[in-house]
Amino acid sequence: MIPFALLLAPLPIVAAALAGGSKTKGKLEDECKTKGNADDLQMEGGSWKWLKSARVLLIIQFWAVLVSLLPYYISQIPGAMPIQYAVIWAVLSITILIILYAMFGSPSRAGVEWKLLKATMITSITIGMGLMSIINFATAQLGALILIPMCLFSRPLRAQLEMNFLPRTVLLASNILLTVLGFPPAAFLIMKGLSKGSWTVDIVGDFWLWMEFLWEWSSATYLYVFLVHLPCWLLCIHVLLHPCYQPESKMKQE
Amino acid sequence: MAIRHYWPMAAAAVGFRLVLVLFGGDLHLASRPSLSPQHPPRRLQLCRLLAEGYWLKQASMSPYSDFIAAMLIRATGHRLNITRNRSLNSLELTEAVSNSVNISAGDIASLIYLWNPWAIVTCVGSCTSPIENLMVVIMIYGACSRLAPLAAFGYVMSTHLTLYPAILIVPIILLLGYGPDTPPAKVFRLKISSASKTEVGDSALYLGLLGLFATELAEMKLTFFLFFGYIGVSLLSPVMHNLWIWRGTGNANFYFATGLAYTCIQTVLVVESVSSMIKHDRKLRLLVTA
Repeated sequence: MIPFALLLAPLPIVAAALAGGSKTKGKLEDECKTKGNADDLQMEGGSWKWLKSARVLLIIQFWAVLVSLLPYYISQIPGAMPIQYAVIWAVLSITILIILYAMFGSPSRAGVEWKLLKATMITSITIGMGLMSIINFATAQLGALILIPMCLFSRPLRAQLEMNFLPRTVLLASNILLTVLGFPPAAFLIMKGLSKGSWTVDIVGDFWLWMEFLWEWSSATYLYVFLVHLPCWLLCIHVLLHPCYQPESKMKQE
Repeated sequence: MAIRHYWPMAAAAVGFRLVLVLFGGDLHLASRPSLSPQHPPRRLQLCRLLAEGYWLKQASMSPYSDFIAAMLIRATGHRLNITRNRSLNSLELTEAVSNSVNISAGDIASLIYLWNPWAIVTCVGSCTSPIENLMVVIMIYGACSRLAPLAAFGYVMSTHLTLYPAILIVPIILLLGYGPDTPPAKVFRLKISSASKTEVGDSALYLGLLGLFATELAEMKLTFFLFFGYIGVSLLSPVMHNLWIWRGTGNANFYFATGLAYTCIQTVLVVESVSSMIKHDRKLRLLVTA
């Protein structure tokens, strides 16, 4: 319990530092984002700049809810193999995500600063894992080991170009490795391989069977994987692939 | 500048409520103890209150009362905006007038109220909270419009449905006596202080009314922490309910802990909003003296 609390406690501090730092560097970071929609509320002072990242989080959470509800309808299809169920699930999930981005605006085009996006991501996993630790502590602990390094190390790939070669290489390798590990099927594969010692080939079908098992038993781990872990992983992808343009002042300094 | 997509968003909110009312029977929201307050045994003899609540529940008045309340909040915002512009014009503050005209506080407040998840959940649960909120909004609209009979009607009805709005007699008298622009901070403080009730559905009302002060609260601090704090506290309720009722590993103290967290967040909100209001008024005072 105490190591988990110590692991979770710095997250609000990091989120507050990112959100506050984005405010103080408002002028410098203005060039790092595209202009928002005219429909958005343009308020002075910058205290409410996080509303756009909250909107992104809302869209992704809504998508996660739809993804978690899909298996109930997919399992009604008769006479299909688990791997086919899983492929249908993945295709439908990606399609719904593209539709939602077309309707409400993609995070890349919404003009959200990557630091605010990272702060929102860290806050969402703080809330999610805090609640999950009350319900199922073991799942929250395993999730924390995967999610917290992935979130804390995440940084736009374009922003990493300013760093020196060695730190940039280490950070790039860490980001890629942690992001691959953070994807729920990959995490499931590694956990199963380490626990059972046997590496199966049909990972997609096994993942579907595991999800079906969790869902039939009304397990909280199912909600955790899809309402906390998956949205956080997607937000991390958005932070990594953020179209962060180089400020002219920094280029002049270099 | 009005919000471009105001009416589609308002219609979507009402449609969303109706869809949940008609097809959301499996959610069992009406039987949640934290959403539908149960009458204690000592009040069972008040058959009139029970019959009245039962009739309101059967009539499914909740979606329309939410919509009417949102319309009244919007009208109140417009009236406050007119009064504020008149005051600023009389003080010859052209720049402040141009700034305040840009923000349509009434639209923001009504959309915050309509799309608050707690308002949607209590509405679908067929609670009487939307009716009570409507009466409080009628009282506030009547007071801001200097319509004493309407304000009195709203006050009597809201106090009849629940006893808590009785405390609002002081700000209503101030509004009717001095006008809506003179004591907004006082109304603000008293309204917020009276919002600390036991029902979670009431958070929709004062959070929506906070939107009426979008101009004054534009520079409020700790908004990021407050927003996600409210999300976290809101998610605590179903988790504690699951632990207590279904899993049996929790007890009533878990609800007490949730209430404590809710009160902490609310205290931060009150402190930050009042300080932001005071800073705004101080800035206006400096502009007047300069």
